Amino acid sequence: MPELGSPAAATRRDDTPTSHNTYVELVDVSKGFGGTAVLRAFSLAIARREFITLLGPSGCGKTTLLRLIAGLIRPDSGTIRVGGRDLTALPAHRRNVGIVFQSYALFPHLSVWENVAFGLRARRVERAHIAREVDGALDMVRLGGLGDRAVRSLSGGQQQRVSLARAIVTKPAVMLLDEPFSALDRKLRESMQIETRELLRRIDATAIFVTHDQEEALIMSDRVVVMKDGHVEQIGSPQAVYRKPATPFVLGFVGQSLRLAGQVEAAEHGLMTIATAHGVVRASGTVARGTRVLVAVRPECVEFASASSEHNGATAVVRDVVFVGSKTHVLLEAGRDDALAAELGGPSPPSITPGALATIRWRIADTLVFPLTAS
Amino acid sequence: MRSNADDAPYGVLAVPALAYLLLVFVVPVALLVVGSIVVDQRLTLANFTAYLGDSHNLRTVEATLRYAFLSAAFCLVLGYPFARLMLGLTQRAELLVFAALLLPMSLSLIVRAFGWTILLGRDGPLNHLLLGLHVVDRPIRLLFTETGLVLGTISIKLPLMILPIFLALKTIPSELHDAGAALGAGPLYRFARIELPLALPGILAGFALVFAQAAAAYVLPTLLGGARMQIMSNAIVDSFLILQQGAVGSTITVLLLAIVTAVLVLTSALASRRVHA
Amino acid sequence: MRALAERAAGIAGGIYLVLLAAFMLWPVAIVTLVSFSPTPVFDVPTEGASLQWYRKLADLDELWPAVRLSAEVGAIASVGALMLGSLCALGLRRGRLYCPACILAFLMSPLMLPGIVLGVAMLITFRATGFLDAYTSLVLAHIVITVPYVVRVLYAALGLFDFTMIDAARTLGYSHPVALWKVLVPNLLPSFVTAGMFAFLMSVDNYALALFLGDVRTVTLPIELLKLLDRAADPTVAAIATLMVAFTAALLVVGERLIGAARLVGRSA
Repeated sequence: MPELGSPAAATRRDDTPTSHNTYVELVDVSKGFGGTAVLRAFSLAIARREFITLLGPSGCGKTTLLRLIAGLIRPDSGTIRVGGRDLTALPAHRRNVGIVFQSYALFPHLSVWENVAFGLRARRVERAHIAREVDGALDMVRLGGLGDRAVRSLSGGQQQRVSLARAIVTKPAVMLLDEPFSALDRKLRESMQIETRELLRRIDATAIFVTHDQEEALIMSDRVVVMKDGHVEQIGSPQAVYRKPATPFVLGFVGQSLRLAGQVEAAEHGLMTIATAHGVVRASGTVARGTRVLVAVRPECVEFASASSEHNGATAVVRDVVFVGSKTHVLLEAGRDDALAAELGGPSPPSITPGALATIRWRIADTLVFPLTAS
Repeated sequence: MRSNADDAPYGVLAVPALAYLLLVFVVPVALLVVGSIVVDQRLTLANFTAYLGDSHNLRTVEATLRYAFLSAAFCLVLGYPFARLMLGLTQRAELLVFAALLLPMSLSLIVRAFGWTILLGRDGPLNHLLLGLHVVDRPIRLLFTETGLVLGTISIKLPLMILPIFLALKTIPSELHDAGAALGAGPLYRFARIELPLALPGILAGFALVFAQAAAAYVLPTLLGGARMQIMSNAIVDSFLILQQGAVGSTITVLLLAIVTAVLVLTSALASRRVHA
Repeated sequence: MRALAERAAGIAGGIYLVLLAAFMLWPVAIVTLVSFSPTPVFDVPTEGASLQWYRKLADLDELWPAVRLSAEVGAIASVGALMLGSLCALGLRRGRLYCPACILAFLMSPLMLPGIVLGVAMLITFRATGFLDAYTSLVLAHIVITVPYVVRVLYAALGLFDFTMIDAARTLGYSHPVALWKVLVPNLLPSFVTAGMFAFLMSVDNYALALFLGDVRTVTLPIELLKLLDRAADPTVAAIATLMVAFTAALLVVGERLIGAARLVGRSA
């Protein structure tokens, strides 16, 4: 285990929680609002000092989950435990969670310093101690000296950092962050994501992020929980979720993909032959013959070359070439339910222009196959 | 909204106010209404037919309706252009005019009515003005006349007409006029077909407000109309405070309530029909 | 040519605005001027102003009890309305009630009815049945007409309030009610002040309720004013009226200082 503080410690942690390492635990948590169930028997175990992101579209229940852990709402059934303690019946102000909101929720009638001191004052910490902690927190977010400023006079990025300082100063057991960067513009967002990660590592925090931005999820977390309609679609490291999505939903929600609709023609010895509108595709797996499937590949695995025994291939007319700086997206004409796409690092070669016929290929090993249900 | 919800029973906080109004407002009004339409445990309009059967009473009601209508109509004619002109103002000027409209509304009605008694007097500034401009040879009698009363009423109720119309006009994006012009509509056509329909809710609201308030007005007619002016409000006051005829007073009150309610319901029905049309 | 016509129209429009505004404002102006009249008739003080009518105020025995009563009733009613109304506005905004718009419409209905109707209705229910004395009836009735203002102002203000601040306060260590007190109240203070002020002004200005619910010993300022207008026809009344205007203006100025003119007028700043 890398020593805390060493460079290796700043990198991702890959362990999935074992029972002795579990720090935050949700067991069979259900919650509904006005007759509609948002979460149904939801369970999740989070390790100490783990960064985990709840990722999903709006309405999937991720924010509800966060509010349940914070204690702002109570579950209809189930248990919530932090550090072994059963918190389910405890109201928010008696749990020790820190939360950073999307809108920052800073108190406009108080100065920056008073905002950060708010939680310590609530706990009736003595004055000298408050001063030390607040100054320390402000320094940690690089806002030292701005304590007297009015909240309204700060920029978005600065407000976000005050919000962070306010949450960490009480040394919470868990840090909850609800889309904390969504209000920032793109450039700022990227630098804040990195800065926040470093800060939370430095204070040994266990952090739960909520976001609908899949890029952010991949950047910030040790594990990603992809959610849909109140249940888990997949839990795994960012690499696992990206390279090996468990369901078509995860495939579509995280990253881009090349997609082909197909039907399994043969499946022997772990190798499948799938018929698609763009030719035969081979992939490893054991889906039964006759099953309708979705074949997919990540676009960066697609190259412009002829097929081989280790590759699947397709030939199609280039529809569009989109240059985005460090990458180029190439879209090709495909059938109605299909999407042929490739991603090249850097600018595209001159032969790849709209209207040109192109041959693409990708490795059999990179091919993903998802059985589709009858409906 | 759901993501921001919490479990606390906030709704309960509304109960005290609602219960209070129910007890201290709804019950008395209900008793008043029921009391006038129930005689000997039977639903009847006998009280009202009896009241309106008397020609003097009928004249009182007529006078009330006439006064209310004239006030509202004049306010509309004068107030619409005012609201229209307010649109062209800069933000600062608009704020100023807003304050000029709202300020008198915060001041005591009695003070403003009193001001008009001075203005309309024989030696008052209005007569001085008319004499000075040689519009008349002798001071004319304005106090305790219908003309003077309506003048004073308009002056006081105008803001009530202007504000709703202004707010309604404000919601019309200026591009609509431009679009109309680009499509070939002349100014009069644009007014009738674009502006008027969209301003109608405001017009109806303003009209209803002024009419309802004028119909029930007491201080203004008493101070400016004088004892000769018999309208429903002072008939009500007289019946309770002087004549001790509570039953009749209640009947007139409920009749007034019915008139005011009818006007409000009618105008809001017209306003919402227009929106869907 | 066209530009000239437009300018002329613009000027004509401006004149119309000014004239009509003057038409709405001059009753108040004339009352103020006349209060300084040098003669016992309602004269504009073109030859020397006089303060004699203000001095005479001290002699009016019945005026000061009326002022006091109006102030008391206004204060109590405003406080009562603030308490009921603010809780109600909060409940409407955050509660999961069936039809908030319907409830709001109901809450505004006391303002839609003529004061006379309210006065008569309450006279019959409170006084005629011998339940309550004049003072109490008056206070209860005034709360009815002030609660709608409070609810309207606070409901609008709460619409602009970010309730995640309350969530933040709760997670930082305050219970739900304390969090509301520590965060909601300070931030909504300007609206409380506005609502309270309007409630007070509406209460003091109301004559219809006092007309029916008052009695010989319970006379509010508007009623006293009406009585004086009936009897004495000298500028003393103008002096009283002017002081009332001055007081209202002072109140509005204080309000403006506290929360800014634009917000007072009801527009977003």
